[in-house]
Amino acid sequence: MKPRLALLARLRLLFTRRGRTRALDEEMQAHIDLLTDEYIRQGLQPGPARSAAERAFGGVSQAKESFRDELVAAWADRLAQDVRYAIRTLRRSPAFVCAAGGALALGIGANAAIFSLVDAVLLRNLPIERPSDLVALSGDYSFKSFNELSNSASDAIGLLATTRPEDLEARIDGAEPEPLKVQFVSGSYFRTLGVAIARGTPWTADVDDVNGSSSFVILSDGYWTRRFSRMTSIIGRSLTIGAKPMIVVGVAPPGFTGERVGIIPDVWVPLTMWSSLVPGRDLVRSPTTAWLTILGRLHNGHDAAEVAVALTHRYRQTLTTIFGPGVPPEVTREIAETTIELTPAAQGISNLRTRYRDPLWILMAVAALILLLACANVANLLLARATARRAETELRLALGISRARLARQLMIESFLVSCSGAIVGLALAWPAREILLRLVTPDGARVPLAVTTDARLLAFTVALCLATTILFGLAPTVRSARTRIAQRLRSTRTVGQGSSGGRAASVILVGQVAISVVLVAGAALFLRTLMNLQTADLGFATKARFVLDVDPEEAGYKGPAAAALNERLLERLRAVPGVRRASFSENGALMGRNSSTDAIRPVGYVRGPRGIPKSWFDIVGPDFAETMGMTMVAGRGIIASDRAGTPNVIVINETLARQFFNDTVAVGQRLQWNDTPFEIVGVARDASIEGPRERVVPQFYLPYFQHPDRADLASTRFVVSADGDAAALIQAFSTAVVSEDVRLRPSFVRPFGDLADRQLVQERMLAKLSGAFAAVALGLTGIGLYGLLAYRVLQRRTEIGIRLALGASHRRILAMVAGYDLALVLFGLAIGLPIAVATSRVATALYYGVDGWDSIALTTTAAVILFIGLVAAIIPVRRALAVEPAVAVRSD
Amino acid sequence: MDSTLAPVPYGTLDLMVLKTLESSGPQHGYGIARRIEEVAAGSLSLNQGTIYPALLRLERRGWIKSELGSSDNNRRARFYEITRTGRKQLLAQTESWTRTVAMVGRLLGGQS
Repeated sequence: MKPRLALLARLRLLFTRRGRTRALDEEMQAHIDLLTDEYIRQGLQPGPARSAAERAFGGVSQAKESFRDELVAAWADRLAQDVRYAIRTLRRSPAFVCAAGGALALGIGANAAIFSLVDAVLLRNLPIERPSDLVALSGDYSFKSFNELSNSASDAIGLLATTRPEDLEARIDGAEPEPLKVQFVSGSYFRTLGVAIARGTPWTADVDDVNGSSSFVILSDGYWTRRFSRMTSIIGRSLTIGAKPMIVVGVAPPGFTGERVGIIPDVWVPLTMWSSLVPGRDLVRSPTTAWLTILGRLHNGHDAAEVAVALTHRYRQTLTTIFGPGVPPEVTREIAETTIELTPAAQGISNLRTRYRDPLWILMAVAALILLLACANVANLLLARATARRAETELRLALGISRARLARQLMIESFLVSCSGAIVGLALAWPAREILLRLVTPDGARVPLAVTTDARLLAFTVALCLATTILFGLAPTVRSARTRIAQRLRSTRTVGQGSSGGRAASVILVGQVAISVVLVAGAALFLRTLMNLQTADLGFATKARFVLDVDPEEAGYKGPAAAALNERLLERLRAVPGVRRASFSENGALMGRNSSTDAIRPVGYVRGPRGIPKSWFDIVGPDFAETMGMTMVAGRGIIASDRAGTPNVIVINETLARQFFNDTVAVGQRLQWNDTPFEIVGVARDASIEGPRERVVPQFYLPYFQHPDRADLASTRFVVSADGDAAALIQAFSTAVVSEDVRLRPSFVRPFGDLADRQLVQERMLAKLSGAFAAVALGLTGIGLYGLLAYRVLQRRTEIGIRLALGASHRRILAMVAGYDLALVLFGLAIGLPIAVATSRVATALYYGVDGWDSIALTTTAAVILFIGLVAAIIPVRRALAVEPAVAVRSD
Repeated sequence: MDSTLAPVPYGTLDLMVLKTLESSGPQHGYGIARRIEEVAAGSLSLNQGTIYPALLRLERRGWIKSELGSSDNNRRARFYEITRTGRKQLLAQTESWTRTVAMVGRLLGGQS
């Protein structure tokens, strides 16, 4: 009874520290009051009496402070003592620290790496002033519209305009040209973002003057560091971009990498310099070309919705002026329907975010599960350790250590283990993150993402540390603290059923198996998705086919000259050795360009209230279908004889045929586009032109050479079917194009298959990462299973020995050990499989051709888990069978 | 503060508090401070506030215990009482203190 009371009193003192300090205030106040009364009794006036009392008492705050010091000192003393004790104990068992720390390092490293990506892509605000005031305007704008808009609403919102960073070339100090990522921004850029130039001077608004020449650049901190080694004399120096010498006027502050996540510009240049630096059309002076992104900063609490209305109104006016009177009614309608919406842009703008939001959260969840598995392993190690240390624990309890103190020491030990794991984990996170950044790009290039090891990551890791400590430390701690002193006296080694520690370990292991099931099943689904997409029937072939993109207009070919050039290029490509067929079209496939119309319909089509359904089209060269490997369901494809002067022909796909003709034969029927009639000469099988995940749209093909008025394509996208070495062929194609005219620049020359692959970047990343995580999960669970089985065999050696001595067969011993193993695995499977099916739903949008019930994925998962269970049991079973009865019984 | 008064010698406050509690029974902080001053009869400069950390220190070592109660004029007050361990400690410390004082006295006496 007595010691328990003392314990309670001490605990009360520990936990009511705050209460005690408050009580002390009262106590001291009372003291001073009493003293004052005393002085008044002695004849002093109340005022002086009080001052005298306060003087006699000394400093109240001083007294309080040393009181608090006493409390803290006592607490800190014991803490330091416990930490020293924990370090001493851990140093005595390096194997345990390595095993536990290693498992945690894996878990914490994975979490830290993925968190830094999640943070960079999804969570972090731009390093600018009051990021929450930043909004993005929907749509793209011309320079003129931008100027009009910024003048109109300047008191409610400050606007800035930017372009996507351009890949240009720069010469520095007469060296060879080197690549330079240049972002063109309005004069208001830095001011509106609230980014103070770190060195040099910010530019002023007059850089937006189209007639001025503002050949200024501001360097990013990263580029300044990388290229100029932070040379301070850089301000005022000149670098030549393209052919234009530009003066460095400033350097942006460190950490600021522009407003786009995933694209980091090297330098910023005034928008008005566009035409001097980028060859091609003078976009700045074109009032109709919408090419700028506009961001805005809302001023002192202006409401985004109201500002959006004002901007929309102004924008419609501007557009009306720009397009002038006498525009077709469609344009007028379009202008009247134009609206500007404002969306929060505190985190910058990014297409990474929409593409990777779901995959990143899924990976974060997977990493968390891995950490959970690691914690489970460590918890089991600790449980085994607690059993091994029972004698020590009992001794310490007998010597009078309080259970609370004992528990605290064990938790400190756990915390130190998880700290060591976290340190190694953070070191692992660095390279892991780089691998991740390369995995998300098609060509293995690093996504230029500003990922840093900063306070947020450290805070996250510390939080992980604490969480893991509690997760894996609690069960063993409670168990140790519950140790009864008498137990030691009663039994030395249990013969028969396992102890309660064994039960806790079994429960943890079943949980581990279940989590592994979820992870393996998830990985299997992503792998199946990738395989399905890779083997998906697109409706055309990408194997042994190549694409290249040529822009005749860029080299000055227009109208008939462009058509003639395309024909000559076709001949040159066909002449390349190894080429079987060659054709071209305007949009091509898998390249994200398309054209559509709602003016094509059967001749005599009766227009309902909903109008004519939309159709997509492409203008193609002869033999396009054959070259692409598309099959015709009926009729023929576009051929060389479909030229100007022959009757207009059209090829449609099955979906379009269904849309207008249902089940009747489409070939031979006539379509009408505006007023021009076409005869359907063929129906092509449906093809997934935009990729396997996109729905098949109604599509038609027109022969390029039949429509001289459409000779100017956005660009000519050649497709060539050829056999031979890919690199050599690509070289030959480029040579063929350039030998026609040196001014032509073939771009995007590559195997067609690469385009299909590019589309699968995200799927490949998910399959690879979830596969890697599943492997880690299996490893951790396998080790956990092995550890528990080995431990049980060791613990039950005597029992096994007695059984063998009494004549039990080896088979029976085998059944005993393996049966336990199998029971754990089956339990885990029984719990894990339903969870796997249920959780697979969160990723439905990412699957292709599979769902959570996919039998192949689930069977594979079960097989893999059983296999791991089997492998984990091999050594323990052999050890159990090798027990020598005489030795085992005697050793006790 | 009067400069002719001796400051409380380092480490003796705990001893004085213990002794006070032993000789006059349960006391609140004010009572203890008054009692020490009475005994010192003006020869000691005590910052009365300093006894509170001392009380906590002693309580933590288990030499005294405290309890909330009400004082003579019905104020809520914390009463401190010496424990059995406290008595033993007091005995041991008194002995050691006497020895030290005697030793220092001899030392100083021999010098003068």
